[in-house]
Amino acid sequence: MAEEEKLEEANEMAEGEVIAEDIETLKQALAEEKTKAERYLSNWQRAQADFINYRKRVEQDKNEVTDFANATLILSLLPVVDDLERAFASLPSKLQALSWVDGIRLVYRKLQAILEAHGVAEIKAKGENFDPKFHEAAMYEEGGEEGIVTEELQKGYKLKGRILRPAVVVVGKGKKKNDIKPETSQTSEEQ
Amino acid sequence: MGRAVGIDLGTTFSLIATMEGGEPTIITNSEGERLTPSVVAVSKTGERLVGLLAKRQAIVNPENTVYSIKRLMGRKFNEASVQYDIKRLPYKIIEARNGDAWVVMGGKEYSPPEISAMILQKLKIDAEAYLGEKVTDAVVTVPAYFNDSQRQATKDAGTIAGFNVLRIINEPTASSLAYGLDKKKDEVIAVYDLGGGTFDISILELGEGTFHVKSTNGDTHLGGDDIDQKIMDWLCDEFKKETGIDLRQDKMALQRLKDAGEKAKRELSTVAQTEINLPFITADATGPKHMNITLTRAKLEQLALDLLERSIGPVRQALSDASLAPAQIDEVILIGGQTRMPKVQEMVRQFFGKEPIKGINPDEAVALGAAIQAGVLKGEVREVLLLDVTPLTLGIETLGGVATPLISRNTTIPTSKSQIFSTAADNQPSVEIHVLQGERPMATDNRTLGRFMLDGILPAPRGVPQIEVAFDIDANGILSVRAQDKGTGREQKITITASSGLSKEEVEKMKREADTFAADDARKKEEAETRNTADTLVYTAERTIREQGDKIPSDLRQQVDGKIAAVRSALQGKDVNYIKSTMQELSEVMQRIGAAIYQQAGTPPPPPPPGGEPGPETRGPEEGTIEGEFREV
Repeated sequence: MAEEEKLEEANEMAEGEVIAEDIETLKQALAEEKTKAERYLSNWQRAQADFINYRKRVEQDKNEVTDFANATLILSLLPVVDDLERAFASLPSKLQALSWVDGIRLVYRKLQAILEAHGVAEIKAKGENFDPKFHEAAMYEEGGEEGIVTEELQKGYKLKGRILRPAVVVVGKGKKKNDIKPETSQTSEEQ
Repeated sequence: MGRAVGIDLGTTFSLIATMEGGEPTIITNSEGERLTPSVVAVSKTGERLVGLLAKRQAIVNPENTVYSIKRLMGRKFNEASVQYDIKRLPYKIIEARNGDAWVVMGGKEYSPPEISAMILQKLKIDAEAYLGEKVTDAVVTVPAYFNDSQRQATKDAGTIAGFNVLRIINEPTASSLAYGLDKKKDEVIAVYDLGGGTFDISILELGEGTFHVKSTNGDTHLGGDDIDQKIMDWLCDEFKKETGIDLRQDKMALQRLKDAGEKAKRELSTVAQTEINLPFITADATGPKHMNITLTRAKLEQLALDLLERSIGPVRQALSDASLAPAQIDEVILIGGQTRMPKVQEMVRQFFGKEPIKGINPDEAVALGAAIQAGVLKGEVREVLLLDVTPLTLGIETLGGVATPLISRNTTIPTSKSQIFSTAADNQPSVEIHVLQGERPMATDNRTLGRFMLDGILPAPRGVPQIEVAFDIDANGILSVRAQDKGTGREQKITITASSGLSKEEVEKMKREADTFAADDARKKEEAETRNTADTLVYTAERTIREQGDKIPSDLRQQVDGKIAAVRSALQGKDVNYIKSTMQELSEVMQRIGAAIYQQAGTPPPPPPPGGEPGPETRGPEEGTIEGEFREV
């Protein structure tokens, strides 16, 4: 009788071990799946977040495009404005009285008005402090005051407050040669 | 965890890019530009400027404006190239305590990595503003010929700027990555890089997924800027011939010539000739003078020829150093803006005997490749899912043999789309769902993926039942199509595996055929749609006669019968215009009948019914788009 009992006990223990093993395997599998699930959730969240951020940016870009869609076109038309101004600057005096010339002047005025209506404004350059945000220095020459724009080689323009084309300018060095700032004396050393 | 970016830290320009939705994208800076000049300055007012602003004030502040710092990175003061540059650069270069070449800017001393770090910092700040998130990790590119100390200097610059530098990679390698060449089998790649001021040729070998540099060569003073100079010289010479005036004495004229010449050069990459039109370029005693010269592509090529041919020598040398013949190069990549010039592409094609790879913006390819590498290195931590697209349009066959699309080609999967359809005939008891794949508008020209039927549709006039057809493609490309009768709730579906689609060659063939037959197909589709509309009109007319017969005046009744017969006979034939004209006549009679009926009822006639117009019958706001109707089975 005792042997049977012992056998039963042994069987039960063996079964118990097997069950315990099964439980262990299942626990492990569960842990793995949990880790996977967390990873998937996290990736999904990130992908979602990326998408939302991307969409926000695209919306922003879209709004900007609407405001500044014409920037490229206007920029490419500015040389025409430049040339017309050059034309008027060199108008021979004997032609000034011609009414035909007045007509062309009015045409030019119209072009200016259209650009203004689209938000184009001139950048102040001549006589101003040189400011690289709005001016591009093409030459640095004696004359005028140090750091003040003495001449505009090409007009600069803003579109709706934002710079469209910088003014290409000549910056004054000041009247006297002795007025050069200390750093520049090093230049003469190394050259 | 922040973003990873790729940075092309160039001699004259720098770019920054990042991965977005699996694609590398260039990030614009705070000035809205994709390229940032590699220039740093301390202004007269003591302000630090980086990029475009620094460049704009270079002429008024040359001693404190540092550009081309890349030429000094990782170099000792006593190196020959540094001594050469000292003579040419307007800012002060000094020897640091450890013998390195340093610069003086705004009265302070800086190492080249510190200067480069200022550029990198601007890129970082602008990128963070644009993306709306922190940017932490970066891959930075260097020329393939950079030595250890030059690479270390670049890495230091990144660290000083606040980046975690994931890796320093070679520029030609980055451009190969941008073209996806690392995914191909082992091969030998030549990278031909012709930019504004320098030319570099690199021979790379791809082995087991990594790139090795076999040889490099180049010319540090050969680039697009030299071609611009040739154009300017030619313009001045031509003008002198015509007017006797030498524009080289006129600084302002030269400025305009420079811009116009560059613009013309770029235009001649796409057109055969262009006009250089500069009114009031100068003036003399006789009055204002204008320049109006035509520059042809042929002339430009002539002017540039000896410069371009100068690039071949270094290429030969690089091949010889790698012990390779031109024919042994598997792929040639073009980098640098000047490679947009057709003559450059022709020369490269002739030399290597194969078509060079292009397609990615040659100014941006290096940065894009660096971003791809950054994405890969970062992706080890965060998984990136690669998603496929469906290569061809999927749809079903509808009334008249028309292929109605549900999911258009190149849609990223997984995806699903559904649409409501209806029956073609009164009391139609079932519908056949004929699933199609292809771009042609007519069903017979596309590929059948599967067919099934949904029956048990309750008796109803045509166009009334609502059959929802839903297409669903999972991430593995398995398509399932479900049709459900919204009225009875009955549904049927089939599943089509990805392999029952077409091979890559067949896909391309179908796309090509769609283009070839586009005009023909459009005509056939129009015919089918016209027939459908005519059919519907006849049906509506007959129904009206049935229901309102007694209210119709006898003369109109006679007319309408005649017009219906005319449309019917037109539908027997193939003349689309005849079908249309008979339809129009029937439609007019129907309008008059409608007016007569409403007058009898004492109400004012309503606006004319939509008969005669192509497209679906609309019946109410809740009915979904009824695009087509099924043929009776």
